[in-house]
Amino acid sequence: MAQIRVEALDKSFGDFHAVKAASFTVEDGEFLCLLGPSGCGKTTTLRMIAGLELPTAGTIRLDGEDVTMNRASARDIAFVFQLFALYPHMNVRRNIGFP
Amino acid sequence: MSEANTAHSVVEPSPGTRRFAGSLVVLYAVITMIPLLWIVLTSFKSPDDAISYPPKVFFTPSLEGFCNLFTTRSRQTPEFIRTLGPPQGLCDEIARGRNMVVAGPSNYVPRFINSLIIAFGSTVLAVALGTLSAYGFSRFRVPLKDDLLFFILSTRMMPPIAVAIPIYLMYRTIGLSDTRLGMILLYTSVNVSLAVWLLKGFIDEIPREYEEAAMIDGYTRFQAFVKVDAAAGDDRNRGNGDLLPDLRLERVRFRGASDLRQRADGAALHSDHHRGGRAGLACGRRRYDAVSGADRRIHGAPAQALVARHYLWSRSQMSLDTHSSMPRQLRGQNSAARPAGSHRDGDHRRGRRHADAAIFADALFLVVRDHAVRHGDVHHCLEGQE
Repeated sequence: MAQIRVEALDKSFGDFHAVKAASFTVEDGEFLCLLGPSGCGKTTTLRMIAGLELPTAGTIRLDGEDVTMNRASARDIAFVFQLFALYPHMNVRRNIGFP
Repeated sequence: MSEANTAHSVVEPSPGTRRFAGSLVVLYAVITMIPLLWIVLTSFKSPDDAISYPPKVFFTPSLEGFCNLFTTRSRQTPEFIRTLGPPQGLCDEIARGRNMVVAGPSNYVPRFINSLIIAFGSTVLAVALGTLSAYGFSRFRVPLKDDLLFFILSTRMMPPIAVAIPIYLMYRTIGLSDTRLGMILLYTSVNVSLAVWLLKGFIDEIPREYEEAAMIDGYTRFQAFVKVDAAAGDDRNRGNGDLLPDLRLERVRFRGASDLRQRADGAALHSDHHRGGRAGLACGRRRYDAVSGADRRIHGAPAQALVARHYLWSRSQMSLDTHSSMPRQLRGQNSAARPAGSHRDGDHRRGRRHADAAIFADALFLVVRDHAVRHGDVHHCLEGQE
């Protein structure tokens, strides 16, 4: 039973408040769409869930486990990038098989 | 690329131009090599011939130069030399002709070894430190980043002679003068600034998404750097890597599915997203197409996750829209050949359509993946059997 739970997530870059008190829960099999104008924090939120950014405040739970401060490799989660993040020096099979 | 052979290619040079350019390059190479050839020739001249004026083009070759390099000689009276036995070796024979005898080997070899150790040591250190620093500047938010980078560069603007005496005094006090370690440290401190700036340029060019994808896949940041950046840089240096996905897709699109099928382990991606946002995936003899944009219909069976990714990518490249107004021969040959900033009225509408395509792609990603997995197509495609 997989679940992503985000509680009161905050992220600031210096003076700029990118994400302000975001809270939501994604249940198993649920399809959640974050919709908003450019620069409203959609990507930042996703990057925090994936572990590529550390939140300023708040908690992220995967399956109830608090992973807020875990690094990306220690979280069991996948991410599709806006940029086509396929490794150019590998063929399809090795790309899929990586690591 | 076979499309390059169409009637009039703007990018490909004609055979005549090619030959002319080739002969120019060869001529230039020959001219450049003349001084090097002269150096080699001079090494086989006797000392008199080497410094003669006007210079001699034709001369009797001699190994005296090499003997002088590798041995030390002492001058003796002809009477003393006559008392010695026969000359020992070629160099002794040459030396006796000038009233000298070979006294022993020169310091050339140990000095050359010193140079090698110092050069290798300082290069390895400078590149290692420079890579770490460049990576940090390239990937992280560093406070005062620009000022720090300029400070690093500014160390190269200082005339070295200005610090020669203070450094010499410091080295003598701490016992680093006349040591290899001292030289290595000094050269490293001078060269690390160049290394930082050069390597930062390289690392900036590698999209950080590659590393981030690797980190999500379970690597630490350092492992991700080694696996992805080092490999990508290496690949590009060997000239067979299309580092940027942009170029990569251009190639994919124009290769045609059949050629690509062998290259990419059975899966082939083709697309024509510039007109109507259409992408598809050929898997063996089956072809999956997905059409999005204005009508948002799905034709045929849903394609795979790659298609969805492709849509996401095309949205991120909205500037590509101008592309579709170009003649067919020009498209796909070179991303640099696109006219930049030739915006037209329809572009806003097309941009909207791409945004729609992105939302569509998000949904498609899940639907399609499930469908493909359920029907065993992912496996089938990636194994390349058929």
